[in-house]
This record gives sequence, structure tokens and C-alpha cells, in this order.
Amino acid sequence: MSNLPILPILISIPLIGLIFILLSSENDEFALQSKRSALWTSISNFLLSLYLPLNFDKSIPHFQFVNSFGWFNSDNLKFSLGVDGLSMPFIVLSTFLILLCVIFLYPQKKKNMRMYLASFILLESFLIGTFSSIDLFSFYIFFESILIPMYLIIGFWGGERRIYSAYKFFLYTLLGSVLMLLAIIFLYQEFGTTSIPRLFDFSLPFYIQVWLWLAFFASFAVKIPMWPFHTWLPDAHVEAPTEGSVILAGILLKLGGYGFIRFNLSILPDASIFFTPFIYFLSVIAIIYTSLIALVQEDMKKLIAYSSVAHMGFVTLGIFSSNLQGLHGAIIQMISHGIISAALFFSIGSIYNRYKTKEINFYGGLGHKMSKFSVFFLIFTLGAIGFPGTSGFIGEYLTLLSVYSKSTLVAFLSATGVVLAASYMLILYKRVFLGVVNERIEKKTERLNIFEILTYSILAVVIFIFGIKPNLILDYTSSSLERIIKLYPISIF
Amino acid sequence: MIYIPEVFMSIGFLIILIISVFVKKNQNIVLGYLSLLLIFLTQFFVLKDIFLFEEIFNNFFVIDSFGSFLKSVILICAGFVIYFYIIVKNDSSLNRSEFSMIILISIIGMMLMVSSNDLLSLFVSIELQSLALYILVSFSKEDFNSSEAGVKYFVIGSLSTCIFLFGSSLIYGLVGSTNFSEISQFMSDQYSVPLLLVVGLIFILVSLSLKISAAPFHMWTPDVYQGSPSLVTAFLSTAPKVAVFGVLIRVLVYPFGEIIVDWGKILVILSIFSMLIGSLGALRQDDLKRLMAYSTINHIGFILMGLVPGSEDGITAICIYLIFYITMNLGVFLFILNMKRDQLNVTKIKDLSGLYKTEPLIAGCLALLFFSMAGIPPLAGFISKLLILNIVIDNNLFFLAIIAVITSVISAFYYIRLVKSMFFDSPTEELDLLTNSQSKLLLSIFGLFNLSVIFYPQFFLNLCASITLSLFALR
Repeated sequence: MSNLPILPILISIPLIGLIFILLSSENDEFALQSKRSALWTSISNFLLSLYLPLNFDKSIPHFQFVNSFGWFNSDNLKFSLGVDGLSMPFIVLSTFLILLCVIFLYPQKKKNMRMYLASFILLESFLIGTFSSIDLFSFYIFFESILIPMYLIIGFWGGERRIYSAYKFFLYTLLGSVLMLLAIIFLYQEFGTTSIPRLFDFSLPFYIQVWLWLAFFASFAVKIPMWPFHTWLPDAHVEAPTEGSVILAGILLKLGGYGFIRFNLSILPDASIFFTPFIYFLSVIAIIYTSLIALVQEDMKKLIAYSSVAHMGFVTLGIFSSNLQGLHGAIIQMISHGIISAALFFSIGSIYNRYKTKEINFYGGLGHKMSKFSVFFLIFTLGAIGFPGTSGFIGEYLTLLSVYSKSTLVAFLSATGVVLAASYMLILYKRVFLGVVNERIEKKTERLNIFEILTYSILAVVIFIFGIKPNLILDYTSSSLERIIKLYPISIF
Repeated sequence: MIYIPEVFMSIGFLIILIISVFVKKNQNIVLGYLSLLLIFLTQFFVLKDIFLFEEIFNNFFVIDSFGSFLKSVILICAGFVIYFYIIVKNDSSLNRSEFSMIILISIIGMMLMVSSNDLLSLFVSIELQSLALYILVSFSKEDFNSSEAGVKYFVIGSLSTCIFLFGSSLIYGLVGSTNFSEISQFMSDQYSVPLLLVVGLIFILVSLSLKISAAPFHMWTPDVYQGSPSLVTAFLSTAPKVAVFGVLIRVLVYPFGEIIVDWGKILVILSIFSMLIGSLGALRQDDLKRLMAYSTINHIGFILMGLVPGSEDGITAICIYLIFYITMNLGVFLFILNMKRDQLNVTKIKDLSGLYKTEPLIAGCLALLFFSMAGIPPLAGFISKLLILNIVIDNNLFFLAIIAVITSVISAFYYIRLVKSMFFDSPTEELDLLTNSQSKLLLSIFGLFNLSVIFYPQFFLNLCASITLSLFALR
């Protein structure tokens, strides 16, 4: 393996790009200069992030590309970066989606475009940092830092009730994560180290594990979000600008799932076993309840937001089934949801930019006017339903398979979520794209521009690639996941 | 001559006093510059002897690196405040020759405070700094609020003095001496500590809590903060807090270290109250200075937690917290000093609205300071809170840690409300802001400092750890 410090480079390139963006002039209306800087930054970061999968040794379950820096002057508290099979796909997903956001933004006009791009580029740096931290404290610092740019994105460029939503997003997430901070400090006190690979070697008594598990759960359950803690998500999604929603649904929610696997499952296996029925209960409720809510939504973004909660229900089911299929299913589901929901939010953004409303009732017969767009949207819809051939199918299938081996009832109940997903997504498609062209749409039509076509084609291709060949991801993840499963005391019951 | 800094300061102060007679009425700035120079030179003397240890004046005072470090911090605070006085000329009522000199007197008091080794010398020096502060608070003669705040502060301060004296007399009656080392000796000789001694300590604790505005002894804080001139509030919320914390640490750890079980519990109660009142009380405030008062109470509660175990690490964390807290507070008050509309000073939160549109750089720096106060990583405030929480959890005080983080989430609410009004609200009326570039530069430096601390926390950790060592090594 070469000694290129790839992870520090990936984190620092956006920060360098940030300086260029902030220094660029905002005289012209399109803020072309800052857009160019953002585009170059995100392209180069995406290409560099491909270095990871190309040079990744699939047979090693441990962390690779490790870089450590002394931080607090103690040997055990370092600023360490590294990736394993679990975090690698998410890093590439982050750079990929940020790049798409910048491409999508390129032809648009927005107030204060320079700061908007700067927030996204800053977010990219923090996201890569979060996924590549292998030290609890550096993880927490990156994890929390994300709040600041995201708060500004929702609050500054959002919709009407943006301020309320930004508050809700900020405080919910903060409340969850400060409890995690206490758990992290406790782990540090207990073992004298916060290095994640070294924490794997220790084990804790059960009653302590339970408390720590709950503290981590509070943070990630809000982030992912699970059923009773999900109320911030629809508000945040509806009010956030298009690209904000894309990043929120595409990557930020995955932080929750990633955290569950990385911390709750790996470091606290006994408590995870203990709480599995609890998680199943919440996940099943999430899948059914939020799907039913999604059925009656009048706002497109809110519908997709609720469907995200349902899809994340599958992820938590898969994660806590604690077998390889379940974990694989969860990871595929997260990646595919990251791509599909991003695609759906981009599409809604496209429609919104043209007609300035997200009310489903406003539309009808859009397919006659924007035929290319309707095909793309159909692909994304099918992906969200979990149609065979798309990546959504693999995730749901693997998850249900693993849950079935544990509990038939849970598998049965959660499978209804698939049917419900089909109904709300197809109803959405029908109401917006099919039927008679109504006169509000007749008046004003505008074709897709080249940047939108580019974005959608890339997304559609990726959906199909992962749908047909999920091993592209699973090859990387399996050895790391096997290592986590091995930590399970009674993984098969 | 070991006691150089204070003596030098006093002589310098007297010289400036003489000079002030000959300075023309509208040239008070000259005195400001002279005071700044004096503070600089004193700082040099303090730092020169920072590793010295000596007990002087018949054990009345002790020179050690902990005290010298706090003196240096106090001098830095005062230096900034006087520098603000020079660069921001917004308040005509402060434009009198006495201002910088009264600040100098109070600094002399504080410097004596942090090196006192005897209840008597402690009392005298506390009085010296308090009397100066009473004058400062009521400095604007024309302003009714300022006079009201002055009276309030004076009444509460005298109460605190009485309580302190009563506590000291109880201790003197039992021990037969007011010297810290003899009290400490007395404690270690006793098989069980008499209850009356604990009562005496509680009186002293209450008196000091009144000074640092720890709840439930915080009542005066919001009124005094709001009423006094902004520059005085900036001073009030930084330097005296450092000094009183120094005293608190010295009194509790050294002579009363034996009865940590007793005062530890009291500190827990004080810190829980402070954090709750500091975070809940600020929610409904609409005045920035009042809100800063509650924010101070909240921070004080957080800092007090670090003292509960009375350990070396805890005191290191407190020192670091104090340094970061000062930079945040001074930055925010520097901005408040510059808030002006139609030639009138304004301090309402809604006056902040739309600041981003007119002054993006200032709004950004201020947002950094507020986020830092809320303890959001990667800013300085997070590191200090992390260190304190680390101490608390190390001592298995989990309930305290949970209360601390929940109150800090509540307090995050009002800090991000400030960020909200700066960034998201449309401006009602614009402020005539920051006409001088020096304030802009200084505010950016404060913001940048808070942002960059994450890269070198070990510097502060090493510094403060070596400082606190002196407190424990030489018992």
C-alpha cells in the first residue's frame, strides 16, 4: 500500500476550495467564479476519493489508510483517520452527491450563491471527516460540526417556515448527540483510549453497556431517524432548499445507520442483543406508520421525507438482525436510499424551480410536457419502491430475508411496507405526471437543461448498476462486517 | 524585592494620578494609553517571576505560579478593556479621567486577592477590588439605570462582605488563626472537624458565590449587567470572575482540602442551580446584555463543576475554561460596545437582525463566538466543556454530567437565536456599525482564536497543567 495520506487530503481539499470560493467576487449575477471554484473542488475531491476503492485491500477487515496526528498531549487521544469496508462506500457517496449538487446548482440563480456553495463544500469536508474518523473524539467533533453549515443552509435558503425547522433540526440533533458525548467520555475514562480499533478488544459489563447503548442510541436514532424521534425530518426536508434536502436525505441520515453499526453493534454487542426486540418494534412501527402518513401527504417533499423514515426502518431492522445478510442489506439500503432519495429530491427541485410549488394537487399531466423528465422520474420511483433491477430491491430483499430468519411476524409486517411504498410512490407519479394536462402547467413549460439531464442520467445509471451488481459494494464491506459479526456472542439464535 | 508587580502597579498608578491633574479635559485618551503601558510593564514583571514560590509578609501573601498565571490573565482582561476604552468612543459618560484609574485600582485588588494566603489579607483585597467596581458600575452619572445598578451592586456587595467576615470570625474563633497554612494544620490535626468550622466555610462560600454570581446568589447579575455601561459590563464579566475563582480554588483546595466531602456537595448544588437558571432564565430575554448575564451564570455553573472533585485535572480544566470564556465574552462585548443607532447605544437582540447583510465578516465572527459559547465543536467552547465534563465523569457524577449537557442544549437554543437574528432576519433598521477598523480586526482575531484552538489544545493543556502543579506540589 502506498503512503499517500489520502484521507487528510480529502478533508483538506474542500477547505482549500472554501478559501477560493470565499475570495471569489460576487459581482456577476450568476456568481460564476465561485461556482467554478466549487465545481473544481468537488470534481477533484470526487476523483481523489476514487483512490480509496481502487487501492483498497478487500481481504483486510481492519482499518486502512490510517493517519494519526498527536492532538491532546496523550498517547491515547489522537486525531486518527482511517477507513474500513464499512465507511469507504459512504465517503465516496458523500463526494459523489456533493459533486452532483454543485452540477445541479450550476445554471441556477440564488441569493448569496457564494455562501451557499461555501456551506456545501464545508459540509463535504466535515462529512468525510466523520466517516473516516477512527477516534471517538474526532468522530464527535466532525459529527457535531455538521450542524453549523446545515443549520445555515436550512435557515438561510429555506422555505417559509425555515427558521422553525432550522431550530428543530439543530436542537433535536444536539440533544441526541450530547448524550453520546457523555458516553464517549465514559468510554475514555474506562479504557483510557478513544481509538475505535482498540475499543473492539475490550468488553464491558452488561449493565454499563445498556446505559452506553442508550446514550449512543439517543444520538443515532435522532439522526437516522427512528419512529418517535423523526418529527424534525419532515419539517427540515420541506423547508430546506433542494440541495439541502439532497444532502440531508442522501448522507446525513446515513450517519445514524453508520453510527449504529460502528458503535452500538461493534462496541456494545451484548446490549445490542438485549435491545433487538425494542429496535424491531420501533422499526416496524416506523415502516407501517410513516408509510401510511406518506399516503396522505399533499406536499411532494413531505411525502419523500416520510418515505425516508420508512426506508430507514428497513435499515435498522437489517442492522440489528445481526447477521451478515442483514448488515449487507442495511448497507445496500443506505447507499441506494442515498442515491434514490437524492434523485427524487433533485427531481422535485427541478419541478419546483419551474412552477414554484410542491403541492401535488397543482400538477397533473406533466408527463406530456416533459417526457424525458417523466422517464427519469419513473426510474427513481421504481427504485424507491424497490423494484427488481434497481438498487432499492437488493436492500429490502436482503433485509427481509435476514429478518425472516429471526421472526416471521416482523418480516411479514415490514413486508407490508414494500406494498405501501409502491402505493404512495405510484400515486404520486400518477397525480403529477399522468392524466390530463392541466391549464396551470400548459402555460409554462421549460425543458430540462443539460446540467439536469447530466445529473439524472448519472443517478439513473448508478441505480441500475447497483441493482444488477450489488457486489460492487458488498465485496468491499463483507470482510469488515464479518469481523463485527464475530464479536457477537450469540449471533445466531 | 519579590512583590514587584503589585508594588510597581501601585506606584505607577500614583504617578498616573499625578499626571492626570495636568492632562486637559478632552485628552483623557492619554491616560488610557499610560494605563495600558503600565499594565504591559506589570505583565512583564508577573511573567518574569512566574515560576517563583515564596511566602511573604509574614505569610500574608503567597507568590506561586498559579497566582502569577491568574494575575497575568487578569492583566490581559484589563488591558483589553482599556484598549476598548481607547478605540471605541461611544459613551460620553465614560469620558472622564478617572475611568482607567479606577480599573487600575480594582486590578491591584484582584492581584492581591489571588495571592492572599490569609483570611485577613483576602478580605482587604476583596474590598479593594469591590469598592472600585461599585464606582465603575455607577459611572454614568446621568444614567438612572447605571446609578440603580450601582446601588444594587453595592448593597449586595456589602451583604457579601458581612457574610464573609462572619464566616472568617467563626473560623478564627475555632482555629485561633486566620492564616491558611495554620488552618490547614489545624484541620489535619483534628480527628473530626468541628461542625462550626464547616458553617464558617459555608458562609465564606456563600459570600464568594455572591461575587461570581453563582445561582441562587445571582439575583443582582442581570440588573447590574444591564444597567452599567457596556464597557464596565465587559470588565465585570471577565476579570473579577477570574480573580474570585482563583480565591475560591485557593481557599477550598488548600486550607479546607480536608473537608472536600462537605464543600463538594455544596458546589454540586450551586452548579446545578447556576446551570438551570442560567439556561432557563435567558430564554425570554430580549436585551443582549441581560442575556449575557444569564449566559455568564450558566458558564459559572459549568466551571464550578470542575472544582467539585478538587483535583489537579479539574483545576487545569477550570483555567482553560476561564481563558476561553474570557475571549468569547470580550469578543461579544466588543461588539455590543459598537452597537449604535442614531447616535444612541442600543443593546436589544432585535437590533442584531440583518447584521449579515451589512457586515458579513462581523456577523460571521460573532456567530463563531456564539456557537463557541454554546459549545458546538470544533470551537474553543466545546473543548473547555469537554474537559470539564471529562472531570465530572471521571468522578462518577453522572447525574451532574447529564444535567450539564441538557442545560447546555437549552442554552444553545438562545445562542442560535442570536445567530438566527443576525443571519436570517431581515433588518428593521440598520445599525451604524463598527466605524473603526480596529474593533473589526480585534473581533476577527477573537473569532479566529476560537476557531483555531482545536488545532493546538495541547498548548493550553500543558500550560495550565504546569500552572496548577504549583498549587498541589508545595503543600
